[in-house]
Amino acid sequence: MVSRGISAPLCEHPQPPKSCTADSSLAHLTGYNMQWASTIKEVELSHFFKEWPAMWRRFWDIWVVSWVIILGVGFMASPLVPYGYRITNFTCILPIMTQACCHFLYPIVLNPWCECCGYSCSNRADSQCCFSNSRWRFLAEYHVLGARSRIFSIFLPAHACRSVQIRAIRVLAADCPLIGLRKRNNERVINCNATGPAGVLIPMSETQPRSTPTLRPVGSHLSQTWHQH
Amino acid sequence: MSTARHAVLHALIDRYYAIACALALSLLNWALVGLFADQLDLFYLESWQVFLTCIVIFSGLSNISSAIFMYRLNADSLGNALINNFKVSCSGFHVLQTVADVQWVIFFFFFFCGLSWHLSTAL
Repeated sequence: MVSRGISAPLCEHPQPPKSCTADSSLAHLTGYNMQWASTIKEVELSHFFKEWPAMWRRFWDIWVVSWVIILGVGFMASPLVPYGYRITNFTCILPIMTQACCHFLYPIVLNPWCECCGYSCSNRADSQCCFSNSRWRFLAEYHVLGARSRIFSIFLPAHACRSVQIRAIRVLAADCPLIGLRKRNNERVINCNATGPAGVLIPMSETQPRSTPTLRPVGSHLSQTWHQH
Repeated sequence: MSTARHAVLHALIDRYYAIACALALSLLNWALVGLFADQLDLFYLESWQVFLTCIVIFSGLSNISSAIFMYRLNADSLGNALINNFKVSCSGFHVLQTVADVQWVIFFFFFFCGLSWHLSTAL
């Protein structure tokens, strides 16, 4: 399911290749351009009115289609239509309205920074977010792919802000039950704080203090070794 | 061997096609059932019935069976598992509980219902 192209550690595609269904569905799920992360200095909270231009660019077609369907269904149920042609059957309207409404709400409800979805955070002071840790882990699983090596490729969403990525790393670092996060010898993935540069997660020896952020800038693994035994 | 491979391949691929045609087919279902309900009544299975079945099974019964499963594993008492499955704030990452989490039910509902168009454009 984690498909080729996405899992390549040093991927040069600006966008995930949409050549097979697994690719497209994964890239669709996250809706992301694959990019390397840059240095992140602060966490910012986003909201709908900041996000919607990006959402519109990404989802304008299905928004138009779903509103056409919704208005069309509403029109056909209205008394404007002659009686024999009116479609007022509940069981008939419900499936198509479910489809149309879910298509419209899809980027809004599933956007990690959407506060309107009613997902409450268990620890609000800590995280500033509206998702529980389990959902962040779910997101992190799709953000942090290519976990075959100890280099983790981080992919930023096109319509979400960078703090998603920070949060994903923090969740991953808290404890890592996720895909292929290997523990070799006494290496482990170390916590990082939100102000550290993101991009490459580097395992670290247990002898070093856990609170030290061990993130290095992108590409630094090419020039230096990071075994720290 | 060949048959088994084909079966796996079709199981993998066909579900994407099935999801992809959901939007178009539900539109077709709306027009057909709405306009020609009398003629179709004898042989046509309304998508409402399938919809209801899926909702009952996947969001209702799967949570209950997952709770029974947790109980049988001695991971939890039956009542707690039931409550947890429908109202959970997951503190620890646990696959069974998170999959059965009711927030995930909502999450997956929007996810899978909104998937159709994007898959059909990708295919």
